[in-house]
Amino acid sequence: MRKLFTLLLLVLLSISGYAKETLILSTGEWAPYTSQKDPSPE
Amino acid sequence: MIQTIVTETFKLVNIDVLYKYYPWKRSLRYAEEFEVDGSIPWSKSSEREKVFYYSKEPIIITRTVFFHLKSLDFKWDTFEDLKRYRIGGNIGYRSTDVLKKNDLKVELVAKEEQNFRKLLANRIDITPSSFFVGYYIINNLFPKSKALTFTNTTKQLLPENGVHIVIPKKHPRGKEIMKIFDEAFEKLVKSGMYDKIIDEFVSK
Repeated sequence: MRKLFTLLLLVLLSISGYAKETLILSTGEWAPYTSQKDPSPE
Repeated sequence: MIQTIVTETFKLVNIDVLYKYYPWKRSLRYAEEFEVDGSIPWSKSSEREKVFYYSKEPIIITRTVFFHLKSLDFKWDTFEDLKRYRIGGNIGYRSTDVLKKNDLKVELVAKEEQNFRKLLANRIDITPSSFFVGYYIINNLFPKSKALTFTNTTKQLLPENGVHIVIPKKHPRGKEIMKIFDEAFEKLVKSGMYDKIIDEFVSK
């Protein structure tokens, strides 16, 4: 019953726009600060 | 730092961001093919502008300068001026290519932080690095007393380079997402949060 309620809540939140949107961005493999690597490969 | 800026920008409009890490070329290809929603950080090129929307403003502008110890009276105007200095460079970096093309001898290392250790040990005289990256390394690698012995030139080795977030034109909401980002980014800058992120990164 509780699972059904949670599912229903999620569906309602999603319909009403309350669910947070998540974007996926790609980036180059780097250490946290090695942004000196050329960010513009040929 | 770039990730933090982008994450905080989207947070202002209640959007979460997940990052996926790939080799550079694949990172761009996946974005182009709309395997992901977008990519960071990319400078403008006519080729890429055909397939991507670019953020109106660059996320950051990188300045590549020389770092050295304050004890060295170092100024340069031409590449000829650099010939009498021991230069530390990094494998695969554009700055190394530029120095080599100008007939300069460069001692190469694989990790940028090695050059800062070599500067302190007096094994090289100067090393090029992005202003932000250089101070991040210095402040993270050395105690404050040592960190204060470093300085940088104002003259840049490479032209300033603005890097952007890109969203593929194939993305059905590409234009809309970019507009959302641009407006939120303006808010981030105006709020002072942008400067705070950069200050924290440099002085960490």
